[in-house]
Formats: sequence, C-alpha cells, structure tokens
Amino acid sequence: MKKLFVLLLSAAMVFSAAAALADNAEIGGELVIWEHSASFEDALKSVVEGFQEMYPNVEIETSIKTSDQYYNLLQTAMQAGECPDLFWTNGLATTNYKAYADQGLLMDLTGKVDFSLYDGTSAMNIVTMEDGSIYSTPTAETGGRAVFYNKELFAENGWEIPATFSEFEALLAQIVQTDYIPIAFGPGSSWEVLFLYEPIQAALALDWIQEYEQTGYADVNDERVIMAYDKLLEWGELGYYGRNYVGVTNDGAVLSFSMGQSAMYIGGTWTIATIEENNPALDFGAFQIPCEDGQVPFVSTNSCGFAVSNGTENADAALAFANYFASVEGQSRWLGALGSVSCTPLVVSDSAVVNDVASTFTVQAESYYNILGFLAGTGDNPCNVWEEDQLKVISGSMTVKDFVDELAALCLTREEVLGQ
Amino acid sequence: MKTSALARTGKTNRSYLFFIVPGLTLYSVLVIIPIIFSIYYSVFEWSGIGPMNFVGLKNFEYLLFGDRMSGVFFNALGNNFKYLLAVLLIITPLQIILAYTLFIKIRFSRYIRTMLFLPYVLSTSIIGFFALLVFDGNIGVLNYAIKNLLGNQFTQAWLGDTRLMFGLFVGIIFWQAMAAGMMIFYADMQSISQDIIEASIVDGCGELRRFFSIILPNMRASVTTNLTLSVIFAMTMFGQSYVIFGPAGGVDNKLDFIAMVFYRYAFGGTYYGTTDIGFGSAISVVMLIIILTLWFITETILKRFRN
Repeated sequence: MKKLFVLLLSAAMVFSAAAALADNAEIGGELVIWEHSASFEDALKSVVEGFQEMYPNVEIETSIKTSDQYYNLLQTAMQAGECPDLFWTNGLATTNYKAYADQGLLMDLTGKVDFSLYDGTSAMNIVTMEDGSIYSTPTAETGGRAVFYNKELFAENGWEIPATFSEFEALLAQIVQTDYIPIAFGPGSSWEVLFLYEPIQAALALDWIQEYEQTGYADVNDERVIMAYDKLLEWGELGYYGRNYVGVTNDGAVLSFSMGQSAMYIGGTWTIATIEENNPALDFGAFQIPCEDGQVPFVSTNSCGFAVSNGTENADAALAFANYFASVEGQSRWLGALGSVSCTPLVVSDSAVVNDVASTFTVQAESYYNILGFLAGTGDNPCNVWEEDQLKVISGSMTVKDFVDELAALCLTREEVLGQ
Repeated sequence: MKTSALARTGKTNRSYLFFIVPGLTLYSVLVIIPIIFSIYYSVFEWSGIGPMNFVGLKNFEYLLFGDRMSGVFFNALGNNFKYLLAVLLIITPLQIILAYTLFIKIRFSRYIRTMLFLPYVLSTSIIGFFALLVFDGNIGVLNYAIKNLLGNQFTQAWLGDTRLMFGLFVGIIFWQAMAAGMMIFYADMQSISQDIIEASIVDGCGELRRFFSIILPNMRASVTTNLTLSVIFAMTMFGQSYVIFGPAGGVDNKLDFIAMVFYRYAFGGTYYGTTDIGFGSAISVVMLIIILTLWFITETILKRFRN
C-alpha cells in the first residue's frame, strides 16, 4: 500500500513538472525589451538568460538606450505604434508614468504579476497608483548612499569606523593631516552633490526626514536642511574634499578613491561595481554616517523595473517575463549583476561590500530629492530648478538660504498638503 | 528652328531638375518640414504624448520674460555670443595663421599638419575624457605636474574655476577643431597662383606684407565660408560643453548654451522625465530667428569683403 502511495505521488509530481514545462514551452514568440542605461545592461542580460532557461521558446531582443534620450525615444516609439513589449520607467518618481497609464499605454499588472516578494517592503510604493493599480514591476534594489572606505588605509593608519557624527568629523580632521584626501568628491553635477548631501542631512537632521515620513510634509527650506548644506560646504573649506574639489568630476572622484588617493568616497551603492572594475585589488568596505545619538540612517530609494505595453502582441510572454523579473530568482540575478542592496531578506548578495551596506544601518531615511518631487507644486518643477541651481551653492554664487527658499516657493505649502 | 531651340532649352532645364530634386526632397523632408512642425508645436503645451493644448505665444512669453526662465535663456544666449566672439577673434585668426605656416612649408610641416589634424578625428566623448585626465582637480595630469614642480599651492580647480572655465573650453575646442578650418584655408591658399607670389618675392615683398596684401585678399571664398559656418557653429554649440560640463553647463552655468537649454527643457532627463515638446519647440524657433538674423548680418558684411 505504501509503495503504491509513493508511486502515485511520484507520478503526480512528474506529471506536474511536465505540465509546467509544457506550459512554459507553449509560451513562445518574440519580446522586445528597452532599458534606459548601459549600467543595467549586464543585469538585464542575466535576467534574460534565466528567463530563457524557463521559457526556451521566447526570443528576446534587448535594447539599451542612453538615459538622457530614453524618454524621447520611448515616446517617439509609442507615437509610431512601435512601443517595445516591456520597457523601463521611473515609476511614480516622474510624471510620465501616470501620463502613460492614463493614455492607456501601460498594461494594468494588478492581479497578473506575483508581487509577493515585496511584501513587507516599500518597494511597491514607486509603482502603485493612488487607486491601487500597478503598471510596472518594481525591483528589489534599495538604491542607497554609503560611505565607501579604503580598508587598507584605515588599517595602516589606525582609523576606525565612527559611531557618532562627531567621531566622523574627528576622523576627517585626522585624515586631512595626511597626504590622502579624506572624501573623494566631484561636484561636476548636481547629482553628486545630492548623494553627498543626503547622508549628511540624514545624520544631522534625521528628525526632519522623519517629520516628512510621519506627517507627509516638511518645509524644504527648514533650518535643519540649511544646516546640513552648511556642513557640506564647511567640509569643503576645511579641505576634506581636497584642495581643488570644485574642478573634480564624479568620474575623477571615483577614480581617485579606486586608486587609493582618497580614503573615502560617499556616493550611491550603484558605484560599487564601478569601483570594483576600476581596481579589482582595492579592499574596500562601506558604512553610514552616524547621527550623534548613535542612530545609523540609510538614505535609500526604491527603483523601478519594467512596464508592459498595453499594445504588446505577445501578452503571455510579456507577463511571463514580468513575473520572472518580480520573482526571487529574477531579482537575485538582477541585484547580483548590479552589486546592489536588496530591500528584502529573500534576496541575498554574495558581495561583501553590499552586505556591509545592508548590515550597517539602523533606520531607513527618505531622499531629500524625492521629498522635493513629492511636494512639487503646479508651477515650475522644483526638481528642474534644483538641478540647475544646485552647483551655484557649491561655487558660492548663491547662498544656501536663497537656494532652498527658491525650491520652497515651488513646492506645495503645509496647508495644501495637510489641509492645516 | 526657334521651336527646336526652345525644345532644347526645355530639355536642358528638365535635366537640371533631375540633379536638384533628390537633394531638395531630402532637405525638405529632413530640415524644412521639421522646422515648420517646430513652429506649429511651439504654440502648444504638449509633452510629446497625449492631448495638445493651444497656448498661443505663452511659451515665448515664458521663455523671454518669465522670472526664472528669462535668466536661464539670456545667460545661455550670452554664452553663445561670448563663444562667437572667441571664434571670430581667436580661433579663426589662429586657423589662418596655422594654415599659412603650413603653406610656407616650415620645417616638418607635414608632420605638424598630421599632428594638428589628429584631434579632429577624435569623438566628442573622447575629448571629454581627455579633459578629465588633464584638468581634473584631483587626478589630473596638469595638477600632478604643477604639484611636483611648483608645489600644491599652485594647483587649480581648472574646469571648476569660473575664472578659467571659459578660456579652457575655448582652448579645448580649438585643439580639437582647429584642423577643420585650417585645412579649408590651407586648400584655398594652395589655389593662389604661384606667379603672383613669385612676382611679389621678386619685387621685394616681405612675408608679412605678402600675407596681408596677397594671400589674405585671395582667400575671400574660404574666409567667408568659414566665417558663416563658424557663426552657425557657435550659436548651435552643444556636444563639447555637454560632455565636459554636463547638461547644465557646469559651475554657475558658465558654459550653458541655448542648445543645452533646449535639450534640458524639451527632453527632460531620466530622473524627472518631464518632456515639454511645445516649450522646447518655442526655444528652437527663437534660436532659428537669432541664427537667421546673425547669418543675414554676416552675409551683408561679408558681401562687401567679397566685393
């Protein structure tokens, strides 16, 4: 009897596997997938490889665009009726995600894609509309900022990972006495300033960020915002970025850190792969700038994956890809190739640096730029103005107060957001 | 007889058309029609997708008189004119001088000609990377040399120093693009009759006098062509500044140009992703008017020079 039961169970399993394979084999045809940046090319390739192991009959053509032309090309393709089957969007971080959904260009994925991987995380926030509908897959990536440090330099000089903000400043004061640049910083674009500013702001003004997170509003020209900017500028005057940092680009800063000229580099976790490529022999780790009370904030943003075109001629394959991309295996491949931090414990990295980042914070913090975007009013976009005028603060041609006041003027007021 | 003469004339006219029509068709489709469409889009508020809202001259009003936007626009326009002056007063004269030094066949002129022409074949991206390697404040070769020879206190921020940025940029452009104009001038010099030059030598004409009295006047064609192209190039400057300084033109927007303003506002960026084809078209229409005006002025002045 027992033998018969085992035999029947085995047969059932074999038939189920065969049925699944048969299902996967039925899904075929072609898919065209667009990505917005070359830095995601390897990650997409890895995901496609994994997908095609499960769905061998689906032919996939990927196209990697340049980020500053991406939306222009995508809209042209949409207008020409040649929209790719799947394409990256920036989700609710930009206005066109909603515009595309309103125009009927995006497939509603609600109930069609399994998003259970992201349960308990904030990953779905970037793709979920007010009415709960979902038009894109998120990723499990938590794009964060970190302080990357040269472990060899630290060990040789007896420098230690700081536990408080004042310890961090004391460390900077120590390093600047040597021939090494304490922090490699290249304010060649507003973004590099942002990725340095946000960890400083989180360490000095975590309460401001949490005020926004808890109430949905915070004054973007608050004194605490100004204080963090002033600290960033003060470090420049103290020589913590090197003598001529205003003339340094981010590429130069990353190279400077990779080649061991700088003790630390503060930037995005997506830089990990670049640093490793620049100098595979560099032994580096990561930590966060701590608050004075010992809390360790991690400024991070969720990122978006792929939307499915409502006009796709291969909906089965497109949805199969979306489901695979949103699965543990799909995201393991995606994040593994990027060397990124995961927002879910189900996806684990084998990179020591990534695990450093993931394990050295006590509290997550929202990005200042995101808050600016969420509070944008109906006139000029404060994000546009931020990008154009941020560098004037670095050069001194605009004061911090004038800058943040200018941004605040373009944002919604407390009354408009909270009705108070 | 008359009839057949007329018939022959008709046939000849039709032959010319076969030569002109393909080019004219391509030019119309790729240039004229997009210009017409740009003018049409400029009176709409339109992201490039979805409904188009007619707003009349609102885009132009915002561009030229808006509190913030007019500052951005006129700063960029000012940079274009500054760069135009640099092209007319520095780059073009230097190209003529370099062409002349090759023309009079100084020693190693072939080698020099090749070396001068080499940067021209490099792509804009390579030039941008080269600028980083030389001028970066931390890892740049220039600061490394200065630090070791003179001391750290003499190193500079170079491309981040608002006093030096523009001059360095003009220098980089000159280094990359001097060959193009230089070769046009050189070719024109070579077409000058040797008899005239030999006669001037026999008459005891010095090098300098020969240059100003014989060489330069005989270069009217290349000078006027080059100047016209330089004006248009200066007013449409984009690639080199974008690659070296980023989409906003670097510190204090010192190297922000009109074409970059157009790019930012028409196509947005990946992160905020707001495209505004209507407003971008308004910028391009204003650019068109400015360039046409400058071209007309240039042509009027150069006509006198040609005559």
